[in-house]
Amino acid sequence: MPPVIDRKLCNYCGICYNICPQDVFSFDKKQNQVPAIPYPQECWYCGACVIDCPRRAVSLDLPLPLHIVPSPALYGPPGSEEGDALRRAADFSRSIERSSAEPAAGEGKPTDRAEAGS
Amino acid sequence: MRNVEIQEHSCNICVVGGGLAGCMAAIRATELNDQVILVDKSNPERSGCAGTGLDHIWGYFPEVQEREGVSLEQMVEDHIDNVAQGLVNRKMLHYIAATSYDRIMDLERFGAKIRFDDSTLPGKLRLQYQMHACRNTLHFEGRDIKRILTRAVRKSGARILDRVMVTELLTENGEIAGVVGYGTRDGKIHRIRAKAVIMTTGRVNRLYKPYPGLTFAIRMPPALTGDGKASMFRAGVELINMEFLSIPGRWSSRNLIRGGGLPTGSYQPPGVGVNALGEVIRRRNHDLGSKTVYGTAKTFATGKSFQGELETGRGPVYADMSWGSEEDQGYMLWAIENEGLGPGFLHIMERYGLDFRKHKIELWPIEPEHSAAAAGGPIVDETCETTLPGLYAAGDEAGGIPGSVAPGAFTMGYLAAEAAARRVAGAGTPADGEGEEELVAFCNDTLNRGGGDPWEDAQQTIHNHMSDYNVHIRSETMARRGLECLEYLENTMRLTAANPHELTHCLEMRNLIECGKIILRSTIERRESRGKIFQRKDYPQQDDANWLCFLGQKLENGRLLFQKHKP
Repeated sequence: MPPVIDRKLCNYCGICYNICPQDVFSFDKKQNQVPAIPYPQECWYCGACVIDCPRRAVSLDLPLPLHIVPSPALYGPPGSEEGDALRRAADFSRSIERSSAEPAAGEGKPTDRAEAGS
Repeated sequence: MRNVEIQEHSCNICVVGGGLAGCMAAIRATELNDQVILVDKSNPERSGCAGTGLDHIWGYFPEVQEREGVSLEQMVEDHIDNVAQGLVNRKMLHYIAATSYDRIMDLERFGAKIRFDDSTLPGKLRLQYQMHACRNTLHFEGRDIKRILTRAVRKSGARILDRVMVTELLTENGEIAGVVGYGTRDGKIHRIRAKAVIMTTGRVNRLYKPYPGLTFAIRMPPALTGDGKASMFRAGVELINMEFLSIPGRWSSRNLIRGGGLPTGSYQPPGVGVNALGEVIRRRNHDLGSKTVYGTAKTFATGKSFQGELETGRGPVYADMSWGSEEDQGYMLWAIENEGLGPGFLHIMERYGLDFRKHKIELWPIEPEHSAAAAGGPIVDETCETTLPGLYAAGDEAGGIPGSVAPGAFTMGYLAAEAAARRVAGAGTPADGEGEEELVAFCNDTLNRGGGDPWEDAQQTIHNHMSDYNVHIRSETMARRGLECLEYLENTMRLTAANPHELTHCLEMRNLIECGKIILRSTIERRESRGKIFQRKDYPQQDDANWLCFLGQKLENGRLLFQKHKP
């Protein structure tokens, strides 16, 4: 059950205990010990402890009901024809330059939207 | 016999809740007044809906929208018609749309990165389509937005009182006099006298059976249990829209519930929606199909729906993000890393050998959600003031502004702080106030019972009653039975707690029951159906002549009062 603290990496700083929005940890600075996890079943799997641990000592274990069962994706390797079409449309949407690939011809031109909006 | 210790505090302005709205309110209030306390149930560094990130925020970006020929008024009208279906606090919505940009500039000033060299737009902004028919949602580096805001709160000089769950209001002579909370770690009652209070405790989560069956495996923060709405109602504040409910709360990843990152998510380009046969049933936001700017067609339109695919034997449905180049997928990765729950999602995927670039993500309709699309909460005026003088509400706490989300939190927090500062200027010391007796008695009884019902049993019972009587078969008779069941639970449960952590959960049960009862009563009172957020079996038709209005509910001298308000 989550979270799990690597006892070899933990430096007893207590950040995980300080920031956890669900208060699943317990910790006593004076004891100089790895935080305990008295309420693992109350974890939200938000990952705050994972990203804020300065030693990367915390990881999340999923209980079985929360596992995502793998399912292969459909569009296959990058560069497929259908993927390319979607990508061209995406470039317009997200308003950033592309360093590679031809700009889209036709669909998704920025001007389409700008004209329609005026 | 143990009695909880009571600790007194005093300030001019008390902000309750340290999310986006609360942090912005505390920062602005402290710029205008030197006696501000921010109270948070956990720690503002990582609390609230944006605790582990926020990658998007909508607003009116003049340098882009003006160039594209979109006016502020057009965007507001779009929101009124298409996001709020006509039922919205128009003045507040206009304020949010008009000032979201200013608050985004504040975020940049506090240290958030919002400009990117690869942008093709003025200001080097990365803008996306999201809720509106124009490109007005900023994509930015918001993973640590709460840490950035908390730093700004500390720098401002506001005092942060963390790990205190506010659950009661203090009043005196019909005006606000402060709040009372319970220390989730120190086990003390904190009595905070204040001349003005800004409530920003957000949504009511944990009312309905969670989709994966585990109490805390929900999309929105499980620490948000309607503490603000329940405490305001008990103090006589008028709440509106409490009957509205998003069903489902969202189509989200099955089992491990996440919000962003899916076809309906904010970061574009996310995946397309596909059915089990591999047919595209939902395009991405920008791939608008029949939609025209400020036209009437719906985003994502393909003529097919996720639910429709399930019901016609082509389920399950998936989000597929596998297409595109490494560059595209790099952008997706960046966006996921910056959206709430995203960092945890990526960590878990890596740990379990999953990769959104190689695996589809199965989508299911998750449990209903309150207070977002529904916008249930206290009715507020043009300064965010509730019906109790000196009490303000901002963000998801406030009622009547569907889809205000992050911009609503920032702008209303700021606005409420200005109004609160005006109110307290020149006022004397805070009044003593009253309102904590019931809370103190509940805490002492629960701690001293020495055996009884664990909070988990009450939580499961609330889930059962609310899911059975208030989701798919809503009617007056069902709601009345639901009310009987919640009242029975309230009168029969003898909660017990061994420590402050457990007592906090017991207090949450008290607030969830309060909110559940408010919701069921309003459900009975609104005699019509209204879009996806309110469907009654006994009144299946929408009735604009009588019900295109907010339905208010409040306690007055122990009596329930309902009244209608024109939006």
